Amino acid sequence: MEPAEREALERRYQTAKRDATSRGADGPLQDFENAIAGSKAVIARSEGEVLRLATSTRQLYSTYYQQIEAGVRLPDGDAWDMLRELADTVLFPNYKKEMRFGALSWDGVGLSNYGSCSIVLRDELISYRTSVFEENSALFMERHDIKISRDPNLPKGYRATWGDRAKLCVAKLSLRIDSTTNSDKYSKLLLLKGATSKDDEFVEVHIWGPMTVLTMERVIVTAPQSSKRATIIKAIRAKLAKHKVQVN
Amino acid sequence: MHAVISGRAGKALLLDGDSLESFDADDPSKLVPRRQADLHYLFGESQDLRIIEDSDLESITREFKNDCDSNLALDLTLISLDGELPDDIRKEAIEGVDELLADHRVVEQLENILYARPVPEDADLSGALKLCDRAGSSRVLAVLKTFEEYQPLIREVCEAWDIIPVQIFGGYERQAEFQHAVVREGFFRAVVVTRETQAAISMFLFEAGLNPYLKQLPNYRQVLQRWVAPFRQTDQKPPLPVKPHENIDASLAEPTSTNPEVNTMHDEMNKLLKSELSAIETYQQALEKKDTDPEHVPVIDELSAILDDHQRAASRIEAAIRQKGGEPVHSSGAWGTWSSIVMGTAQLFGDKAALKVLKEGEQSGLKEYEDVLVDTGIPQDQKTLISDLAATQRMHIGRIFKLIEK
Repeated sequence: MEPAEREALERRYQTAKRDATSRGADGPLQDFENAIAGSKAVIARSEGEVLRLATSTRQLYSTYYQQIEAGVRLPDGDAWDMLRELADTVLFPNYKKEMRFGALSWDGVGLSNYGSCSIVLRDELISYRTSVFEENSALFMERHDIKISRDPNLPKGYRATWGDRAKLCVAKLSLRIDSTTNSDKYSKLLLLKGATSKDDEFVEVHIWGPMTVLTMERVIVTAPQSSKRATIIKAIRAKLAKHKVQVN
Repeated sequence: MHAVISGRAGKALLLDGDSLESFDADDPSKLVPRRQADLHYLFGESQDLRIIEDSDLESITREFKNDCDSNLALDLTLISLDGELPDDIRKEAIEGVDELLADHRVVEQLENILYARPVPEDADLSGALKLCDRAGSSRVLAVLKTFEEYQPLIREVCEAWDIIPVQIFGGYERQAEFQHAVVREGFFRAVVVTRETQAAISMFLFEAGLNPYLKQLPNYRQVLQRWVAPFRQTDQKPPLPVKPHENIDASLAEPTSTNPEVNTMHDEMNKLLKSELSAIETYQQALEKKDTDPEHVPVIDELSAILDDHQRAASRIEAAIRQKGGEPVHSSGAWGTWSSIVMGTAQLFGDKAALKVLKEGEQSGLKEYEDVLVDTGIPQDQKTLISDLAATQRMHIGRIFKLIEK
């Protein structure tokens, strides 16, 4: 990460700390920062996708899953323009295909609007290839009226390395922490699931590179399952147990 | 309204003007408003995205449900085949698939995928069959038994696919795209079934040649022709025995001949092959315009049969050229009188003038065969083949004449 980006984040962080001290919330903010240093990157996926990841080393599954994999070509025409250029192009020129998006989570539950299985990723396998961003990056562009381009003029101080994620969270959330804030509230402070995705609030996690069964720490199933999908979850549980990955 | 759907992610995204909404497999009635900012979360790494253009909510929901059910059926089938999993989970999976297979579209789509590759070594097919028996799941039992029986054919069809040179597709990316389209549209399954039932491979080519998805892909005709070439050769009659006095000079058998007479022979045969390929393309183009008018059914049947003959003829000429060490052409080149007129004819099946054009095309093809028959440079065994093909050509002229007279 560029020095200018780090410096800008540091300034936001120090400002937040000073403000908390002036409000008498410096203790709770410090507790929050210490706790969030252990937060997790979580990706929400369907049970079918988790099964695919859990069985990727077996020829039986990979042989047939390959048959349904194909890139999609968007048709020409104005109707498709809004899908054509996503904001990740702005943040990650040339890396778009390799980038995975998740959310920072305190309790291991991710953005369940997008998938009934929250996959908690292992720190040691992602820390060197992961960064965090203030909020949904595409929404950030929209709010700051930043034009999607290959060379955007992004404000600095809104992203951090994995190791500095607690600093970013302090800079973003300090105003919501007061002298009464305790650990019961950390989960919803960090990730608030709204009725629709418009109301979701979270710190976005960008993971570059592959995601395999080895990257998984545990899986949390967040939605009730029909009997057929429950069978898939049982199979996932049995498969992941061999890799010492818990499914709750 | 347009849509992007993914059975694996269990999400459908609707695009209607500036509005974006999504719905889930579990609750298609609940439309969730979406923004562009949500999109990279919606489908994750799902690679089965499908675009649906200019449709309505009901049709999109139907397609989406079918994709979700088919994906679920695939997941459960693979679980049932997984010998590493406990029997109770596998049996439960079989019971789940059995319910889904009550829908024939799900059966078809599941088989489209299963028939695209031979069963891997780490699958426990016999164990799955026993569990089906125990669970009383007759639909899964039937699907897996047939899958087991077809394994030699599936292997053969996959091998034929795998040896198609990548250049014909236009690169590896195009090859993957083509393979996906062929699997999704059920053509692996179709070739396997064609082999099993010993139906004419030309009928498969005819059907595949009309498929709108394949037609968008470059070189689709050449790819399909190359794929089924090994099966067309086994369809054909065995080569006629060559009498000793008809033996041609040994130099003729050399793959890359420098003998001008041999090259002339190959040129003549390739000229006939180009004409046959042009006829195939013309009839395929003509039949693409077929309608559902019952009065036109006899014409469609007759023209389909003639197309079949031309495909068989092309295959026999190709084999004959190879037998003499030549390299058959793969395209008709510039089209002649054959197609230019048919292309511009909208209503072929009710149009006697258009049928007359087809008759003229057949007559011109017959003349080409007759010219080669009087050529002294063509060996006798090839003349026997050409004589046979000329007779078929005469029959075509008679059949089209009858259609015109009706």
